[in-house]
Amino acid sequence: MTRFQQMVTILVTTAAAACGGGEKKAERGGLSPRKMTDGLYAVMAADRAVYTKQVVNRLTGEKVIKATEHFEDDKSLPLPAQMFRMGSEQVQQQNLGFTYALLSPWPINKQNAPVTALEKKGLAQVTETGEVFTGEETLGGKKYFTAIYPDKATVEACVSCHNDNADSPRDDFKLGDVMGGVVIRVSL
Amino acid sequence: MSRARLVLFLAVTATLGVYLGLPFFQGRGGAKRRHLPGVSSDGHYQLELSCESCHTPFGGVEQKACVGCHGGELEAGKDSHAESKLADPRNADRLDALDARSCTTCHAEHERERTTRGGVSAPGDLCGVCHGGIAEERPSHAGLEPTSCATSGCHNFHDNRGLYESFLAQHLGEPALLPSAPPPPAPPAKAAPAEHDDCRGCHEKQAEGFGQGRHGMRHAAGLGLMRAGEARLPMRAEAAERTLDCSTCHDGHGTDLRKAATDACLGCHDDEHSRAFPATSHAAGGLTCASCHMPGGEHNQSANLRPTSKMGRDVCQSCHGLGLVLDARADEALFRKNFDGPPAVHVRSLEMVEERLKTTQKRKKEQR
Repeated sequence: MTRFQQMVTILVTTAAAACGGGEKKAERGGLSPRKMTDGLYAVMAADRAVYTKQVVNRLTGEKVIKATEHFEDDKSLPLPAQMFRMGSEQVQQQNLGFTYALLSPWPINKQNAPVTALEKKGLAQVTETGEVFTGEETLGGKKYFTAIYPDKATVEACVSCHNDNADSPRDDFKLGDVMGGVVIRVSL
Repeated sequence: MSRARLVLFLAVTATLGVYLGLPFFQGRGGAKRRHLPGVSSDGHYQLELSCESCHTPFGGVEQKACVGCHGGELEAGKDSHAESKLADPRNADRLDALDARSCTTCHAEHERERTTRGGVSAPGDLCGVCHGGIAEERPSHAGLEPTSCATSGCHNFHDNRGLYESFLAQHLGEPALLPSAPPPPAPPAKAAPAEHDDCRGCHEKQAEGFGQGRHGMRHAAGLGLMRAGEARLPMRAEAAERTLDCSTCHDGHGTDLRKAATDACLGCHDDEHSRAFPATSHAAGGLTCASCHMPGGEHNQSANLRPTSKMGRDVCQSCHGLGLVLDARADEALFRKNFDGPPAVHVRSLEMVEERLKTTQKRKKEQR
């Protein structure tokens, strides 16, 4: 390839990449990945908080119904974490360019432990500092922006249920502790 | 190329093209048999001449082909390994090793020689790809064979509703025969006679279930009625030409439900399990084939056999403690005797749960 052809190739490739990047930004409505995950987290956290307080806490407090893990068999309410995960699985099926999961360094179900290097690093940092952690990672050949939001024990039920569970690696959680993190991934 | 050779080449090509391609334009039928790459599985052999039931032209077998038939059952069973649980990008490395999102990864068709009775063609130790460290979490599992996860009667890849730990814990210490066991059912009454064509009009649910089970799946796929003689299970020779539709069991000129519940079954089925039934204590107690295989009038008689823990939970546990049910399901010899007698096999699931609960309670007590 001559030098002129090399320069043309570089220019064309750069122009194409710029157009493609612009398209992606336009598709997200000009949102940066961080702003997108902040918005998503705000909705997720609000929905779960409302479910926890207005449905689970209220009805269990009034002894109307219990919230248990095997809610179909027990004819009870799903746990807030289950409500969160069921939503996550539903979103997963729609291929919208993002996924989310509730993970912890001390999970009851070991499949919810951090797996990727970024998850391990991020969850360790989030549980120690209580601050949001962000980074980029490549999984299965695809690049992702990953944000991990601290998941705090906001009500006594979070703490008591985890402390009493036979499969929980810890039984000393306290109200306000960071028990894990909400991991949101946006494909880049 | 000389003219003669060219003519010969074109003639051979045209002949081969017609021989291989014509079956695809003839609709569903026997000529497609020449395209079968191998022996079909027990679950799908009735549909093997309906290639389009699974295959998309130039697209292979798409996931929706499997989900189209089996999706409802998986959802009802609260699929433990639903695609939505696995597709998160965080599982990319594990999916590279075993793409459990796709049915055909574990359920390859046309490879009967390596397909188990449960329709699984993947290696028996596949669970280890994601759950290889289980012995650390469950010391009771240390030393267990890696291929025994699903064959031991303890776990199922898809449906664990009758197997999960809390469920087992709720049924600890139950006797073989529950004191709350319901009395034997009263003999079913005769129903009003009905014509065959009338059936679906009023019995939509039963007709749908029939089409999902092995009695009716061939008819549901547009391949005509199944004949008893075409079944892979042993059938009575005199029943070989009998075709399966509503009137086969329900008697087109009357509807004797007693006949439908047992006699119709034994009129065709000729395996050890079926032949043993009339002399069993279950039969003496008033139970029928339908009591276990079509509970509540479910006409998909395969529904509670995939896995058999479904029958255990929905049927056997109506009368029997879970301990007996687990042992009986694992006893192949007892199965052949149609469960007439105590099991000679023991599954330690309940003991393992009990030991773990005691260990955990002790640990938590010491920590406080």
